[in-house]
Amino acid sequence: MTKPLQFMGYRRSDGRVGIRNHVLVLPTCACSSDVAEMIYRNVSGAVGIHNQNGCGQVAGDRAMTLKLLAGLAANPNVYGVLLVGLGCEQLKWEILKGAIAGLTDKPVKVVEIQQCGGVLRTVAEGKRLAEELVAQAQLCKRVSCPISELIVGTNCGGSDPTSGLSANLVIGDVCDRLADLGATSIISETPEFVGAEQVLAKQAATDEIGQQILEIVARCEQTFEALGENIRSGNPSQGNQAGGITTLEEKSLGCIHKAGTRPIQAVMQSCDCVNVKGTVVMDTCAYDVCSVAEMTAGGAQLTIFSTGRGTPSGNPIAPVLKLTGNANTASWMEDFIDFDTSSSLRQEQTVEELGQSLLQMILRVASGELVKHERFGIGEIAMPRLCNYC
Amino acid sequence: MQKKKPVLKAILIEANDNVWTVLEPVKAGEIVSAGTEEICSQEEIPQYHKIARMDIPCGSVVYKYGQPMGYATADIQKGQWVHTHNADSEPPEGGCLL
Repeated sequence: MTKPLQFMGYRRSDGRVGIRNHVLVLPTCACSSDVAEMIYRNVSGAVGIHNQNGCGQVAGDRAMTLKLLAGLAANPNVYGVLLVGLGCEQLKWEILKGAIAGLTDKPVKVVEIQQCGGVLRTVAEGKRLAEELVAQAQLCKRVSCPISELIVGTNCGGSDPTSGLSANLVIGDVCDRLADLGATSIISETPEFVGAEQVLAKQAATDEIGQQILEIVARCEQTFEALGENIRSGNPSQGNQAGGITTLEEKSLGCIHKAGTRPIQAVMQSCDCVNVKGTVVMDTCAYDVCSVAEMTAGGAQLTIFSTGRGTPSGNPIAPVLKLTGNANTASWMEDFIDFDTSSSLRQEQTVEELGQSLLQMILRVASGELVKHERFGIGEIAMPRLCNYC
Repeated sequence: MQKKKPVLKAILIEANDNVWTVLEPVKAGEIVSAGTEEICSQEEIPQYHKIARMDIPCGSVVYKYGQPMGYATADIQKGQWVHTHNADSEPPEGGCLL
């Protein structure tokens, strides 16, 4: 019997498996975000995000922020968390700490600006706590883990027609392989199902799941209509159109190739903890830095991401492996492209050959090989909102 | 001896598509081929953009990936560039001019 495919990951006390060993510095609101950055930029082994939200939000919007932040903290790539609070914000650290404790038993430490007494004292105390966490994290060792522990997000950003003709096909091929190996892949970006939802729904494992796919797409369109907006005024972007994508429907029909061909096993809400094997759909927005964050909050340890125009964006917690089917982009912006699929358009390699080699790269990245955005320290997130991105 | 005209490659995704995707930048009058089919381009078409495989009358459906991707908002002739100037998600408001 052949040995199942393995990677070297970090097995966490909550049972999940990480592929990175970060300490996450998490600000509770925009007001504490720069202070949080002063901490994580100065502690080797720490990463962080900027939180545009956390105050001035209606309840439903606040709940979305809380779910995202708690999910990011619970992601198994994170060893432990330092919360950086302000003191008077809506999303107090106590609330966030409680939500994280509902998902995982990992260590969570806290500093609060109004309680610490200013920027300098908060940064000093925050650095001390973050360094303590890093020291503990360094005691964790990589161990051999079966590929079935992987949850791989899929995404596209800065698409052009090569995405739908090449890179997304290779992503779809890898999703099929992951499903066959007992792992999980997530198809996201609901606005980019518009016009292709009937095709995607046919791929659902059951009629009920197919119906759920149609429902999230209908709800997405209705949400914008209720605001007097047409989703198509924001998607496709001007850059997509300059690249040759004419309509949202055309973009969607290319995007859904990321789902491959295996049955879709579930439809999850944004940032839901993904606990289903095989190919699943997550209802996210289509602003790539946001949907990647939503899947990361759902537990994705990495994302495979197609781009045609070329974007260097990454996520600070979960590596974003960048593919392009555009040969010009692959050579002109090679410093942030990890995997070139353009040979499939020149018919020099098949999609299956590229999928096989991408799967090998995923296993290397899962075992510690850095993707290009990580080498630059690039990592951005955007946060889902009630009035969402399209 | 007459020099053979170079043929530029395009991709036909599904048999019922009425557009191709050109894999190289195309100039007016150049021959574009997908499989055994050839089309003479009527205008300049940027790389990875769409060329009409047949006449697509205003108001009719544009097919790519074997699926409707929008409507022609003007009469499109075989060999013309298909993009936002003559195709959209919705058919033209007020119908097509005769």
